[in-house]
Amino acid sequence: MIRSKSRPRPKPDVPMQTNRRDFLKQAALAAASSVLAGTMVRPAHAAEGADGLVWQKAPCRFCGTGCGVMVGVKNGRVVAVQGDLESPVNRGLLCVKGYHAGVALYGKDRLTTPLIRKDGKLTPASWEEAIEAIAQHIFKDPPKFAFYGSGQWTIPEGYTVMKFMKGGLGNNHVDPNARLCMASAVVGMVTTYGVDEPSGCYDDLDTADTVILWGNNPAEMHPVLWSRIVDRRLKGQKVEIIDMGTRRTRSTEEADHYLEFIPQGDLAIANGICHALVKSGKLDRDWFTKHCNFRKGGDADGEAMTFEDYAKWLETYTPEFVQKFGGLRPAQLQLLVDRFADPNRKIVSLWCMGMNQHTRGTWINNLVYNVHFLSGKFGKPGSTAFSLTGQPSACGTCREVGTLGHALPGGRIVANEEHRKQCEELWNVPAGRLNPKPGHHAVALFDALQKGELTGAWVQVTNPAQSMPNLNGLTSKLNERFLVVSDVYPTVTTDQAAVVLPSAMWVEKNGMFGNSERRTQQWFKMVEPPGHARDDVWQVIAVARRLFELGHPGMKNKDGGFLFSFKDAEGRPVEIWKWDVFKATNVDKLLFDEYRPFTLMKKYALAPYDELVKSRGMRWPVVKNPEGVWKETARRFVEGEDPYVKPGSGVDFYWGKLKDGKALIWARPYEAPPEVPDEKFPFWLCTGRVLEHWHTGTMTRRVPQLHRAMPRAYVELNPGDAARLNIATGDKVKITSRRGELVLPAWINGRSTPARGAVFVPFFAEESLINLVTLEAHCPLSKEPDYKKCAVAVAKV
Amino acid sequence: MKSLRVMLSGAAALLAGWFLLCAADPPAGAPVPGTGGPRSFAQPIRPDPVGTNIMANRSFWGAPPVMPHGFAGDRDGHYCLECHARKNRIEKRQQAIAPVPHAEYTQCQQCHVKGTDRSGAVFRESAFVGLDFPGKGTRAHALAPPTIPHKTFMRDNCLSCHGPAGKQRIKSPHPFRSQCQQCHVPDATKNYDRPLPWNELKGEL
Repeated sequence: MIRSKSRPRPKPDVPMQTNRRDFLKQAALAAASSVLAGTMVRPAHAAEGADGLVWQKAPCRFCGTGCGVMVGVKNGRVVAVQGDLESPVNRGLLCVKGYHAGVALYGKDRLTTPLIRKDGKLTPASWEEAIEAIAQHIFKDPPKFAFYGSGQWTIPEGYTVMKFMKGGLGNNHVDPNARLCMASAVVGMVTTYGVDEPSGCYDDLDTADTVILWGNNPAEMHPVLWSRIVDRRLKGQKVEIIDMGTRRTRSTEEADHYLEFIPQGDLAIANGICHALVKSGKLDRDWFTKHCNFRKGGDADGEAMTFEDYAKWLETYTPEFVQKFGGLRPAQLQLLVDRFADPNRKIVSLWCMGMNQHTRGTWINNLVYNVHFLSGKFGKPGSTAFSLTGQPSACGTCREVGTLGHALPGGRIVANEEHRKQCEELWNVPAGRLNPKPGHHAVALFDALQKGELTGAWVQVTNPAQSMPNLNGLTSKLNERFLVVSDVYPTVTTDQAAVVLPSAMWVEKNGMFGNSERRTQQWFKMVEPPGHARDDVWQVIAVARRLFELGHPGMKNKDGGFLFSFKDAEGRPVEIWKWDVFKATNVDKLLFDEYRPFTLMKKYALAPYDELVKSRGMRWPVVKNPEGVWKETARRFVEGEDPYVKPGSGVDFYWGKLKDGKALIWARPYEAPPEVPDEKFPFWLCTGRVLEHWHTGTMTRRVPQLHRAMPRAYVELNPGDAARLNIATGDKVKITSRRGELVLPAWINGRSTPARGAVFVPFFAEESLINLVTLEAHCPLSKEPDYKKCAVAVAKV
Repeated sequence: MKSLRVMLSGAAALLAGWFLLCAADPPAGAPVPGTGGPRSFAQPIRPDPVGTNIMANRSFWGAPPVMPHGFAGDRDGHYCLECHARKNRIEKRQQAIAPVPHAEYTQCQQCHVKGTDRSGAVFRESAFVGLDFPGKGTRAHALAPPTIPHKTFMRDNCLSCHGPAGKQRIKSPHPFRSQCQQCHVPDATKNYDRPLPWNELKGEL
């Protein structure tokens, strides 16, 4: 065996990163200003191993689970990611995307310089040029400009845009991609118990006896939470899993029961369970009498209803009805009923896109709460209806900061005069600055751009030209508008942009996320962004400053000063629109300290920034207890856990619509989807995700291990249908709808198996845009489109 | 003379082949192929259990290795334990299969994805350079047991990597001794799990 004398060290192709001059400049600025220079501060808990490897905590870049990771940095680069043992969310475990989150920073085609389209071609430009172009466009016609943001925005990023657009320009056209994933869950919670975000938490997964999946696939989509449930069995615990779905997935492999249902049949099934519980009398009457009122109607207001009327209304939902419209056999329905009828059984219901991306998404969310309320399985350890969030900060940013067309920070809405006044005061802007008219939701926003009613939009941290439904109808004219895109890699959206801004990614900036269980987490910048890439927050403030210089009145606060004015501890102004100053300042902390008071009105009560620095995140409401300790809340509305609960009430839905501490049980009916299979388009099309790739694949496909594990999109068919159509794995298949078509290779009996008459396609591949085929029909209450159901024709090519 | 030339050229060919073969054996610490670093060796088409490169299937030290083989269906992860369970190590043709070092996690596929595509294909090239494996643990003197140069979280079964299925350069010379940790202790300076409290003690006791 020949032994090599020296180990060859790879010469990394290091992109432009920290150079000594920049670093010294930063350090000097940090010393000069006494503002907390948080950007390069290493907190006490950061571990330094041998040979200069530094480990710091962060939440994972990807899904709404919000795993804690430790990021290993050496010589100014991320070289490893490990699970954080200290995080109560994942206790050291990650999934394949989380482990490779650091790799995603280093694709060779990272955007490193601003680009402006000149003569049809994106050409490099300076930041000054780019900022000028954007400011000039907005200045010409501010009301016709929109901002499309993201559930992957950090909290300060979303907050900056809210202040700029709503508190500055008086423009409410701010909506996030979270409209496409969580809106139905939000409106479901608001109509059911008066306020957004779950009552329960991940701890409930540790003690549940039965976990019911309502049309989701956590084995691939929330893998670490899935492990948390399933691995209990190795410890000798019995946890039953019931998988209700329209296709067999990896989650089905761990389930005790698989209940295949007809698309949209979830509405019938949930009502069917309630009907059977009422008919048998096996309800927790004490619980729902004490904690709920009944309501009828299809909108957000409804009308009062008695229990007797509700019981009568339920009579439609017989087992025969459920079989016909829901697809479950009576014995299968009875299985579910028996579980909820068992007073000693702790049940957690989990759901995600199957219930939210639904033309009656709000209704089905209401109905699952109904089942838990009637059976009293809510507000107890191990018993809750838990809405899983998809993105890392749809909760923390979009929902809590209110980056939606109708909303304001901290659970407020633009239509409410008192809410507007509170925001005007907190933002120190003149009374009457805020606009009472709700802005466009996502589908309407892109529809307006398509039609030219909006002349421009700024997109940050998302890729709508791949992820919106019905792409031809909603995004084909983006290249004729003034589209600004802040991103880290070229995407199909940057392909259409007039201006492209290179952005800092994840640990290249300070940040904060809020996950599914209300846990707000913070991280410090660990490495420099490549080339000329800069923080999204800075980009918006720079444009705001330019508009201030151009004389736009909206960029002034009440004292005539700049909207984004901050002072250091000595009272000197901190000019964060200047990049050098921004870099040397912990702008996150400045913005978060300004934002935090907004969160008190609705009792979101986020923890102070320094508490978040010290901890692995804290679940709000976080309130200082009499001993002076900041205490988080595991379960909201539950006495003894939630400090806002009225003593003696047990469970207090303190935001209940009728202001009586009660939630609402809504009589929401079954309604068929707008497009169902017919002779011309005889198959259901369902779209979704795979373990290896995040959303539109712009980050994960640039990780070689993830790309090779899942290199291309495909269409899954049921083997019976495949045989009938003479399609084998690998054959080219054309999928056609009323809106568009796509050719994909078939994969049969692979990772998942759709029901007969249905096909499934993942949406991560930019060369296979399945959203050319999907439709933009949406829930009328939440405005969230239904990516899970439309009608297609399937044919071998 | 001719036969000598033939012999010499044959020997040269053999030697060249031998060098090539050894070149196919990457020195430990070589960059992982396909992550953008320089490719310095060929990948075996089928799993190479006695290969010496601990990093061959890993994007960085500490990353979950990709599977050098596929499995039927792609859905049911229960198959993994058929070969990788502690008790059921299958020994075929003198080759052992590594038992799982963290049997308390059952969802293998959430971290270990297919790595059967050895083409080096990428969607877009990456400039990522991963953390290298830490090398040998320090030892007090030449005959002392080396310290453990890595964390032990998720590596409860030492024999997964250091037993018969282990990579040659880290194979234990005494796998018949089962209580590894009575001699081999963790190196506190390489404990990435959490900073040990005594690292942060200041002042005199």
